[in-house]
Amino acid sequence: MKRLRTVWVALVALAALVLAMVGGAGASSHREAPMISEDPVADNTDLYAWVRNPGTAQSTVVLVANWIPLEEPASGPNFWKFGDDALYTIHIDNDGDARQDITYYFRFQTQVKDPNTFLYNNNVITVETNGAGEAVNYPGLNVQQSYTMSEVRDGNRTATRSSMLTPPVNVGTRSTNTATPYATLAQAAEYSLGNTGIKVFAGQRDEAFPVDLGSIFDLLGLRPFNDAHLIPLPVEAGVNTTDGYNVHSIVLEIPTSRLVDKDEVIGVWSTTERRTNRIYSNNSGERLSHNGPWVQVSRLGMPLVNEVIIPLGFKDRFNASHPVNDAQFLDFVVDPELGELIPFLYPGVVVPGEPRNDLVAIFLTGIPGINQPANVRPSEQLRLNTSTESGFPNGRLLTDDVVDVEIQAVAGIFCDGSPSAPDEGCAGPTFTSEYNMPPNNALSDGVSGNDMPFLSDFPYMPLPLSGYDS
Amino acid sequence: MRAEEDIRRSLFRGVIAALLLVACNAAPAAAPTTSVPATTTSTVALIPAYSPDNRDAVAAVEGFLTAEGQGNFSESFDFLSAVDQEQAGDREAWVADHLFLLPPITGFQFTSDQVVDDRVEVMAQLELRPGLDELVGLTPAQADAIWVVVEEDDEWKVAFTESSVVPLYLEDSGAPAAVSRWVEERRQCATPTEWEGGLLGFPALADQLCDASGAVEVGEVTTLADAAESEPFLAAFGPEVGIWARVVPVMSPTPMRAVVAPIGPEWVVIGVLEAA
Repeated sequence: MKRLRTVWVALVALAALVLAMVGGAGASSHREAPMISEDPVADNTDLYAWVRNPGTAQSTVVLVANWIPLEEPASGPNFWKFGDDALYTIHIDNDGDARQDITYYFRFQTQVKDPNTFLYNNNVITVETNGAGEAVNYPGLNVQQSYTMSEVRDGNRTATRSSMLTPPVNVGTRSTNTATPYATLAQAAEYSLGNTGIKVFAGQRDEAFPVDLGSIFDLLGLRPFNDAHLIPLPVEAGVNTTDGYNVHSIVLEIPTSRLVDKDEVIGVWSTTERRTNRIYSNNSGERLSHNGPWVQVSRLGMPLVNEVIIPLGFKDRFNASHPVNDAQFLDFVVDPELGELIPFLYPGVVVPGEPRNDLVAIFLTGIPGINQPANVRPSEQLRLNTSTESGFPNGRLLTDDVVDVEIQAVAGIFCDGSPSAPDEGCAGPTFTSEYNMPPNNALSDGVSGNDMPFLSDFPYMPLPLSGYDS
Repeated sequence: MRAEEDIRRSLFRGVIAALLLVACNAAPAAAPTTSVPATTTSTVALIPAYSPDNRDAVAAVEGFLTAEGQGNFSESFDFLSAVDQEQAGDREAWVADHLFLLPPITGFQFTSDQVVDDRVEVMAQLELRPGLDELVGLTPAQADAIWVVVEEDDEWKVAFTESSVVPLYLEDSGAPAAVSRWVEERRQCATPTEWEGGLLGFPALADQLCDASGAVEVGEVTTLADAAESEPFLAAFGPEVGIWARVVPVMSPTPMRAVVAPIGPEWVVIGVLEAA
């Protein structure tokens, strides 16, 4: 007993040290926080959630969580892959209390079939499947990644499947598009979990988040509004920064009845966890080892929250935090810095002042009557009303232009307030806002759509760009 | 500063994860671990093996373990001491994180209890649902537990973070025979008995056993900590792998080392390394 108490004290000290070292921890969105920008394999980039066939017995919820931002397709010989040393998760809160009720856990493993070559694939890659058409082997592929998925409900594991394969990355014409079209290779990596009705895919996909990062982070430039900026430039069309890049996606399609409880609204967020200690060693050519319990290093629910709402000094903390504790970030939503920057950088644009209760609804509680749970505890999650059609901010479709929606939202187009009295802020959200007028409702980075077509069926995300063609 | 609950939650997870690890470290990793019978119970069953001296304290542990065995973690929370309830965060956090807090209990048997200062220690043997995966690592079939019980407002409560759970692993001596059987199955190109999650390390070496001719022998058992290429196993199962995994050399036309894990009543091959 004494020994355990001693250990407890030591662990407290260790954890305190770890916390001090990491300044909190983690991250979300594209390289949006200091720590996670240096750990792309663990970096959540986007989260999507929508319902298909709402209100019917066939209703399903599609969840898409992406990692590894701005992934260069031609990244051989060591192409991008999920981290063997990370724990990837997608959490569901189905009663509004800001706690996960259902979690989908993913762990990946990499097997190098032949360590005596530098090649990612040592032949044209083909696929062998089981009777269900699911991949059991990719002949020709030397670096194979497999994974295990577990569904955990109220602390109990309720579904699990292992030895599922990720498809090869889209290397190029010779490797992944000769004997077997890449679409066929990838399709074989769609798996079903027994009689649960759950479908899962994990692997490389095209980066489909439209955004003009180059202009936005150059003093919040919006190219179509360049002439209205405090530092004017010629008006230009937006440039989609993510064109030409891939990501790694985990896609789930789950019967809606498996996710909802009493409330039709669910909250979704994804995280990445790493072990607390990473130890490098040069003994015997050893690489590194990972020790200690899992700790969250990345988090993503609503898009762009940590990117442009949370200040730099708090971003790592946000990524290490849990929704149940989001009250600590409330002030950044009630009085967002972006709400002050827009009228400063774009003179003449009138934006509501604090309190921004419209944004509190959009980002923290869900909008009453649309996607707010009956017993909601304010917290940052992607909220989805499963009984009706989806579209951001009620869930998020792959095609939603969330950059424009959020810029305009910060500009007040859902604000229950008056441009004649911006200092009074917003009483809440409304769809008949007086701010819903030009230029507020026209603000845009000038980017929408995607360079690759979305798929009409599972896994919906576009096929990845090939290294050869990039 | 992070929110207090975020910090507490991380610490709680860490402490509980460490309970098993630290308990394992109490015995030298290379030393034979306690042998366990091959049979396990499948349901929670209180089998009084003795007459408890501290019935109310033992009853508190019984209530806790029964709720755990039923997967009713919301109820097992009620048996925790106030300090432990606070450490857990709240009932919802205790439930949500439970997969990482305590292995699934399928049965238990009390063996003794004693008063130590102002508390009671209740000793029990636990039957667990054995398994190996990359989420929680290895769950053995059995464990010894010392549950610390404290009195609060005339009720006995389980001091969870002061209690200990010591996994019981198979004896090393069974590992070579398991590897021999696996090699033979592989040589016959039959579906081998191996970890269902797929072999770690260099599985292509195992594929070369199919239809291989020549003599095959297995060598002496060592720990994985002796192996230079343990990183895939560490990444998959965490640092505890160094405690329970064993390495058995395979001398054959394709020499290799088989890495085995004590899953349930059997040693099972979970990976292959190149020969040392």
